[in-house]
Amino acid sequence: MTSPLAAFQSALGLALMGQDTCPIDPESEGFRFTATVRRSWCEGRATIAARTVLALVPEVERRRLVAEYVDAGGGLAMFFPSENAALLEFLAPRLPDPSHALSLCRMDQALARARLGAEVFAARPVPNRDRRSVLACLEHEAWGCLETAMVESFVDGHIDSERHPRVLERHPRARPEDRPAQTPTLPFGLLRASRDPRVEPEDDGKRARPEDRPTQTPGPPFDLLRASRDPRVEPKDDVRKPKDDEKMDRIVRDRIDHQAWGQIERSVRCRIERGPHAALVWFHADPESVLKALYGRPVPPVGDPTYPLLFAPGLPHLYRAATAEEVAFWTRLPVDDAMVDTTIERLLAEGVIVEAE
Amino acid sequence: MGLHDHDAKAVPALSGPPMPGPLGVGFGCVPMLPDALYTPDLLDFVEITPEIFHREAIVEDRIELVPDRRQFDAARRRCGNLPVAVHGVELSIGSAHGMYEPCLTMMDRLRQEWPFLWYSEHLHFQTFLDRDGKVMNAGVPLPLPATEEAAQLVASRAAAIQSRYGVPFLLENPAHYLADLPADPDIGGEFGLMDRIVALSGCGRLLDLHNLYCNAVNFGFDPKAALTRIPLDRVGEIHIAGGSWSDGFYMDGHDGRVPEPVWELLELTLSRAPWITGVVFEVLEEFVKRLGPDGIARELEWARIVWRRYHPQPEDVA
Repeated sequence: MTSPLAAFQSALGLALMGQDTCPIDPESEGFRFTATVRRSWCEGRATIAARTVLALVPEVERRRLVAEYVDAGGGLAMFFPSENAALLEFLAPRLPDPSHALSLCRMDQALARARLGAEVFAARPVPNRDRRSVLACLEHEAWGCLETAMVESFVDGHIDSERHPRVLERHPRARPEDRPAQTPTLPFGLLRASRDPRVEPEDDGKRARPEDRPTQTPGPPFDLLRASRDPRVEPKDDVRKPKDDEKMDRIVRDRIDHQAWGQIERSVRCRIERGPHAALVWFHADPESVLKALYGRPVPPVGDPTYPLLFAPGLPHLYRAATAEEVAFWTRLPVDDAMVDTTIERLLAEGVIVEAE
Repeated sequence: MGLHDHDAKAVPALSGPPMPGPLGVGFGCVPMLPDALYTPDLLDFVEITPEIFHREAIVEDRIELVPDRRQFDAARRRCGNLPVAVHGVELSIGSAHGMYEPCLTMMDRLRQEWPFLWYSEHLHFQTFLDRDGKVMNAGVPLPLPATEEAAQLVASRAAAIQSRYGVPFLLENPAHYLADLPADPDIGGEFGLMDRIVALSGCGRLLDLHNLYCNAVNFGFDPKAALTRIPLDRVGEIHIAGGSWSDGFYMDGHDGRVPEPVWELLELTLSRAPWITGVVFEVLEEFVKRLGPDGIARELEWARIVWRRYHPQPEDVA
């Protein structure tokens, strides 16, 4: 049951939000003035939260945007960062594009993210990406992917284990006694060793170095993988009707190799992605002149987006100008794994993009 | 006793932990002001509002207030050589549905990291439940009705908070514009409500003289006469501030110099408040530019002169 105090508070609070629940005289000067003060506080909080962005918005438009925000329930956040984030999100789609105000809005959002990230950011040593270490990583990934691809092939039920014992013998879960005495084509023993977290390949300091591996180890089947990317040797979809064991074996092998190559490529691409607290913001005039306009200097004309700023938790002051090379690189980077898995695959299926030869 | 025991009827009359003794004049930690203001030459203590240095974050599926390290560390660097009191603003101690719990866990951490001498909050409510039971923020602090239910609720929470942090907990009298609030006859009004809470909980008072002055102007009573009716023995801290007029109301705007009547009220209070530890001059950050560092320093210097009339230092006596 609602207590009298709780009922009073709900009624008064809702009445100040415009509902017909006022527990005191709604026509009293005190109530009306309290409602005015409340509105003023909400608008004040909003104005302070986006002071920088709103400074370059014409007065009438500024009032309209703030009023619309408060009408929509804004201006109530107890804490400035929450209010700031909510208001910037509200403003971004409502500001003219392009405009300095929108650049500042995105800059504020980027700064907030970078600041958030800076609280937990610890600079990591730049990984050694010379050709040797990249190859070592690729090798490691290759074996992992081959293992995955093969397991998936089994799970798909494409292989009749009784008719194709040579395929089965490569499967990591095959019983040791089923395996031939000779070294299998795919070195699963090494594969498992290299995937042991204690002997990961070098990249983050924990991984095993190539020279730590047995000298007899066969290398990854890169030639085979490259060949399998030739559309002329694409694996056939229907592997359920092989004419003979040899052909079946070849089809399965091609299919596995093809899948492995795709996964390796994706894996390499995924290894670098945009930092969750980083952003690239375009300015349509020299950013310094835009910022000086906040302090009464003339507002520069809105030109082409030729001034990119990079924001990230590890940058001094959290930002700096981005070079053309960095912009090009940033643009090509996937945002996260989900994007790789969905967007890139969709675009591939739609023929918007193709895998590079 | 839980912090949310709404129906706690039998709150024992308590006497809380003692105040640390007379300190002098304090001021808030305002980032845009020069560090030079925060020296023992001008200030005897600093009053921090921790919410300013914190942000909301989801931690293990619940909201927590985590420090904004950059601001928090800057505040510590600036004020670290001064005694610290905490003045919270978002706890909403009078909300019937419950207080804003993240403030309490924030204070738990703060106590470990930056110990404070006492803790104060406003006697008001800011959140309530809508018809669907969802917590709503009123957007502005609202006064409590002067009822036994409200007194019991706040007293039980105040006692629990005081016990939780082991330092004096003070409640501040609010400024508001609602003249016709419900009241129980045996409580009377806003002064009676505060008296009852202090008696039940053992907490202290933060007497905001500008709030008292605002209410006196807006509701038409004599603040000096009111001051004679307020028991001042549990006043641990005093707030002074400036205000301004709007739509026929005198507002607690914290937007300027302290008006002369408030200085007079300060003299009256200091002469009769044995438990008092300090006087804090309040100004909102957006009005700091209007007053300027020199203007603020002048208000602080005057507050110190008044303070020393009632708490003379050895050099004053000499």
